[in-house]
Amino acid sequence: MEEKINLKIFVSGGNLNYSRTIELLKEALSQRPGFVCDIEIIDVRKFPQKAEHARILATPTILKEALPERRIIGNLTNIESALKAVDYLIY
Amino acid sequence: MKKATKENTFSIEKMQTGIPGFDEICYGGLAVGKTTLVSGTAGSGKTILACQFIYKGVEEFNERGVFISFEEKALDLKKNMLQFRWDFEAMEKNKKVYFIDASISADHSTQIVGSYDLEGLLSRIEGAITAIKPRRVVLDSIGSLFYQFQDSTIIRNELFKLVSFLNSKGVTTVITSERLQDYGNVSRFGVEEYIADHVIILRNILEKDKRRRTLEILKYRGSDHKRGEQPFIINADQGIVVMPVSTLELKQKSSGKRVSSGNARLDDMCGGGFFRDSVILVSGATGTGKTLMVAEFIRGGFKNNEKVMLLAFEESEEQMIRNATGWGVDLVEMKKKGLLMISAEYPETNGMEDHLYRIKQLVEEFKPNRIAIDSLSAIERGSSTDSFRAFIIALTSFLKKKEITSFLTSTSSKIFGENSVTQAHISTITDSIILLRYTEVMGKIYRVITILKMRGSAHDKDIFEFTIDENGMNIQNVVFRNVSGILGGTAKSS
Repeated sequence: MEEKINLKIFVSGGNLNYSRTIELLKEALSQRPGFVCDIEIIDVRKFPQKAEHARILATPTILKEALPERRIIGNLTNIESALKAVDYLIY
Repeated sequence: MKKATKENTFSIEKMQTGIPGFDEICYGGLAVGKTTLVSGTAGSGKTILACQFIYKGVEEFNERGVFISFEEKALDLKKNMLQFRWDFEAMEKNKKVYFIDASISADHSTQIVGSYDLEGLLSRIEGAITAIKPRRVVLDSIGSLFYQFQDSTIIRNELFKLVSFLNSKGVTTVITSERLQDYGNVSRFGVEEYIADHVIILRNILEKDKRRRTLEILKYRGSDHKRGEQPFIINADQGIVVMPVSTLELKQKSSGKRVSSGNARLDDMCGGGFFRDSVILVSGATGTGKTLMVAEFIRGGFKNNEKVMLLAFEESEEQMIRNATGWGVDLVEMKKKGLLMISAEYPETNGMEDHLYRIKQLVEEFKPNRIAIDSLSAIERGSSTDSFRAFIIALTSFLKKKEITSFLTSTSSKIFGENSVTQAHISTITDSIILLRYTEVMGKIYRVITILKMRGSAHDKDIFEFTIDENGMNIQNVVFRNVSGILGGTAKSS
């Protein structure tokens, strides 16, 4: 049975650097078997109330709402840092 | 509402904050669409000022406000402000204020792994601005952002972006920032002074053994303002109340109308009584008869059907009533007729600004024609010369404006001779000075009275002996002649 993980990633439409971060996140997740991940990408510019609700200050922020709640702030730059971030979120 | 007391050369548009006394010192309020930095040590009143700015905006001017709280949880903040009966919860429901909670949350953990910006915060603020169209925005306090995010270069850049965004929206912004010392650098994070058009410093200084709060406008781009530290208090009814140090008004709009001192002989000595809107100071050692003169001054008002207020700092009301009865003055009757109000309190419980605020409040409520303060020396204890002088100036100019006859007593510390610090500070501010002294003439002790100064009037310049009995003060017609050194305490034949 695979564990389901819901992640939200808050990005800003004003800043296009985040596509690399999303790619790396997906790749890192695929290297951690046993988890099915659902990623919701939220543009804070379009949905300020979602940012408000999740109390987001910085973008990009990857949020795992299920307890224990965890957040990663900042762009991922390589697969090593992406794997570390994923481990922090899911374990 | 107070209007600007000074026209500006550059006609920058100003917004009244509604904070009592504050708009007066910046000649009309804060510049519309600009950013003001409020910097101060912990506990100096930054958050209260920021909240009051938002609250008064809604309450007095129907200007909506957005409050971004970085330090306290919005929920706690709203709860705390109920101490001033500022009901932000209700205002929030009516869409008059909008709180953005940007405080550090304890319910999740965060890791920072790479570069980021504060677009999340920016979009939330934009969302709030779209939702309620505010005219006022507060960021309280930005120091917290630097702790949360650590990379001060990024935060500095993002703050620049944020402030220019707010300016472009035309909102008037107040940013608070904590500093470590009351005197020293304004900037702690190397950004504060650069993002703000105006800088205000709040201080909470321990002066002798009293706390003293002051507010100083350090910088106000494009406008004149009052210089220097202005005292303020934090009060449960009104929040922050700034008490501008008033410059002494020399223009005497004295009507020339005289009122009785309550002692016929003394009226004669003064050339027909005291001037109605004057400040009279009585100085003397303990037991020379100052409080007696206060009682007679009260009686003088009563006989003329005037309302009199007595602020007793040395004795309780009961004690005062008992003493006055001994001199043939019935204070109880005056109280019953509603013509006398006695307020007795221990001076040590209050700071200088609290006294001033309280006295003003009592005067506004009771609307007396005369006021007696017994004694100033009690208020002076435990405060510095400067703040006491500022207090006296503010008090007397307030009383003069109200055309109240003011009778103030001051205790000299030496029994014989003259050594009164108080008097030296305030003698230039008072219109009349009466000295009461003990003096020794040929081995006998006498009480003497003399009028040292009476602005705008001829007066007796002699030194008279007086006695005290159940009729009060009896000034003798005998003048000490052929002796000198009476005021020094020991008379010599000359």
